[in-house]
Amino acid sequence: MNHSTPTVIARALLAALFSGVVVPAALLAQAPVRPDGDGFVEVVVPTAPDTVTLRLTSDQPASVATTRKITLAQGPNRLRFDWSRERLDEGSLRFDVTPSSGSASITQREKIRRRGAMTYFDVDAGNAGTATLTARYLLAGIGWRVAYSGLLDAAGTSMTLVGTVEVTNRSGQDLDAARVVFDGGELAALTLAQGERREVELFRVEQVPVKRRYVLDPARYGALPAIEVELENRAGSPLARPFLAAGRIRLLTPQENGQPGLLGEDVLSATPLGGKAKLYVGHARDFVVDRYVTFQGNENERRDRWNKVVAYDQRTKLVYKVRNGSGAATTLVIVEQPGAPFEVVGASHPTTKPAHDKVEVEVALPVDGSVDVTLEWLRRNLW
Amino acid sequence: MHRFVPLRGATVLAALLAGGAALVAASPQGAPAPAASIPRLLVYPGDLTIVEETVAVLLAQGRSSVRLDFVRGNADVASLEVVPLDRAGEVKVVSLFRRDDLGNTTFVELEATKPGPERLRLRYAARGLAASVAYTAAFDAAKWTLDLVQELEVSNGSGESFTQADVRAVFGVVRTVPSSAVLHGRAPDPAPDAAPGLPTPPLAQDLAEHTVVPFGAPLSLPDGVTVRRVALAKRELATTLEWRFDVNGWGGRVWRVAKVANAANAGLGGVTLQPGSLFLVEREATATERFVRSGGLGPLAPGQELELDLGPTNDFAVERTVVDLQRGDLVFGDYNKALISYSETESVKLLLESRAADARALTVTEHVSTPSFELTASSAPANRKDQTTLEWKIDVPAGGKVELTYSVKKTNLHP
Repeated sequence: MNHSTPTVIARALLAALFSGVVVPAALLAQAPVRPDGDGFVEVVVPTAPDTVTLRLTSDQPASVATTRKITLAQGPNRLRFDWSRERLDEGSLRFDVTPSSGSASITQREKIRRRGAMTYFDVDAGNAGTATLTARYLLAGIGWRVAYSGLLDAAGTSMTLVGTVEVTNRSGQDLDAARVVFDGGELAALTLAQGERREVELFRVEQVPVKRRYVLDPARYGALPAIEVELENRAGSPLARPFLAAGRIRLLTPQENGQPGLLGEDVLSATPLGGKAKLYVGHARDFVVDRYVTFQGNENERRDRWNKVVAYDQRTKLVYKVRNGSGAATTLVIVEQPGAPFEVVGASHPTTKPAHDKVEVEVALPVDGSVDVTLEWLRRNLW
Repeated sequence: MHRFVPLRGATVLAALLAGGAALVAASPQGAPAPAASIPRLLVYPGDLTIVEETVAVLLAQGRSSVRLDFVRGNADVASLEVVPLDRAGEVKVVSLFRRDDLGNTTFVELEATKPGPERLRLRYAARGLAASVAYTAAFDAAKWTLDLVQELEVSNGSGESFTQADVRAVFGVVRTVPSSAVLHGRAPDPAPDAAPGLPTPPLAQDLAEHTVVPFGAPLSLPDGVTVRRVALAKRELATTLEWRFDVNGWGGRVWRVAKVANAANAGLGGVTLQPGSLFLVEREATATERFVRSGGLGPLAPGQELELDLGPTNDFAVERTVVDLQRGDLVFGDYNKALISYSETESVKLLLESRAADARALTVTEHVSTPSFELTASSAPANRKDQTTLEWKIDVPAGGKVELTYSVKKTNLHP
């Protein structure tokens, strides 16, 4: 077989395809390419697919499945698949041929170096007739991201959550009514030309319960109490989405004039059904917390022969003066990270140790009241 | 003195079909021309291909010389072996003769006691051909089955076109000795413009068993062409799934591992899989295929279970917390009172939360930073896999939560 001399018919068909003329598959079917009479029939695969499905993930290129109607001759057929205008990963190319009647099998695939982005594959068809060719491959250049917007109610106990997805096409290929499936959603028919971006609303859910709490965590948020909002994607709740993909979330809250104002933004981490997302949206200005380290000193020092300290314990005492100006009774969680090892040896309020290097104090704050909090820990056997 | 037999067109041919060597031979007038066969290519790893072809000649009685011209391609003429096939005892190869001024041309000097046709098997090394296997694995998440397709790919970059060839790929570690090596004797002084020949391949210890993958029916393999065929296709293989958690793996998420048996009567059927690239997808309920990962697969021996890492899953969530850490047992030196050793007690809590609709067993692996430790408490029986690794198998009910807690005392630590 001589691959460098395609027949005149095949050349004409190729030229027609590149010039944008749509040639019915049935007309493309008869161009013998094997001069030794082995009976191969060349079938030029139409450049425009009939259906396109994209499966998008966050860590891999788009996984694309396209289908095209082709016409096969009985016996050996040679199909030519051209991807010169797409940024597909050649190593990922896979083909399936499903004839409308009878059976067909792909016997081999060929790549001719000097012809570039083109693959030939041989199909042995039991009957002549139409068939569906499915080509699957990875395609670079398709981007997607989700974003959320949450409008809190006046009480701050529930919100209206809106999810949107934005798809960007820089693949080199125009998408026409493509089915796009991604983690946590699907677009039934997306039309997006090369170089275009489209943002589509995915869902809008009312009355999504949220929990709001105030946290003083100097190591994480600095000296001011932070606002944390917790969102649960729970089965049986109004939200109950199979999966919330990670994305930016903008939280809005009603202002005095009734218009929504920005409370803050954060990143909603990927949250499957049953998961919780904790959002940090900014600082609360209606609390005042003064934090004082009243004592920090070493004790139980052990010294070596040369009087050098080789091990010691360290005691730390803290006092917090908290004033609540929010106009409502609430709770403030104070988080300290003494480092490991440590143990709490005294506190004015209940404490918990969520991790080996962290302590939390929960402080109930009366309306417009002040509370003094003390906390003391001891770190043993340091050096 | 050798006699060059007069040339005849009909016999010049064969060779040239076969690709590597151009044969110029001669035959007595009027004798029937014997048949040649298509070349066989044994493609080895490391840019080594053994080309085996049969050429037909008609020999006169006495001494004849057959000229082989390796004019194209990347043949290593120094590796050439010529074996008469038809008339053992009547035809023998006297010598292989080469001249510096004729490059790769080799004269095969034959001695025939009787005139007649003879087939010669030529075997020589060439480079520029490569073979590899590629796997496509599709896991069906609904049926828990796996489709595994192995494709063999041969690329011809040798500069030579093979109209028809019987191709086999050999996998394994193959030990070779360069044919230009002079093992006992003295190498000739290099000529000023000596042809570089084949690069010296590294000597490798032959530790692995070779496996041969045939390419099937003879194929046309022109230069610059890559051909791929399905060598193995296994559909709907029963798969067992395991769920694993290791804080160091997959970013602290639970991941799935699919296992397929490879016994004579189960799973893959006791096959040998050659190492190759892997393209792994998962078929989803939305009738789409999600690309899981690429990577490598194999080698897999008969009887050895195929294990595929399917990536993280949202069916499980694990929250791991080191809940306490305390130091103790400080030991000071008698003489200098310096701190010599201490112990550390670490308590860990893992909250295993299932979001699956059925009960599943989760394998939890934990690594301890020192080999000198003892497990002082554990909410479930642990298996100490090696010096620093602990493993638990925890049954988690559908949609339920299980708390795994353990404490280790690490002893004989040094500041």
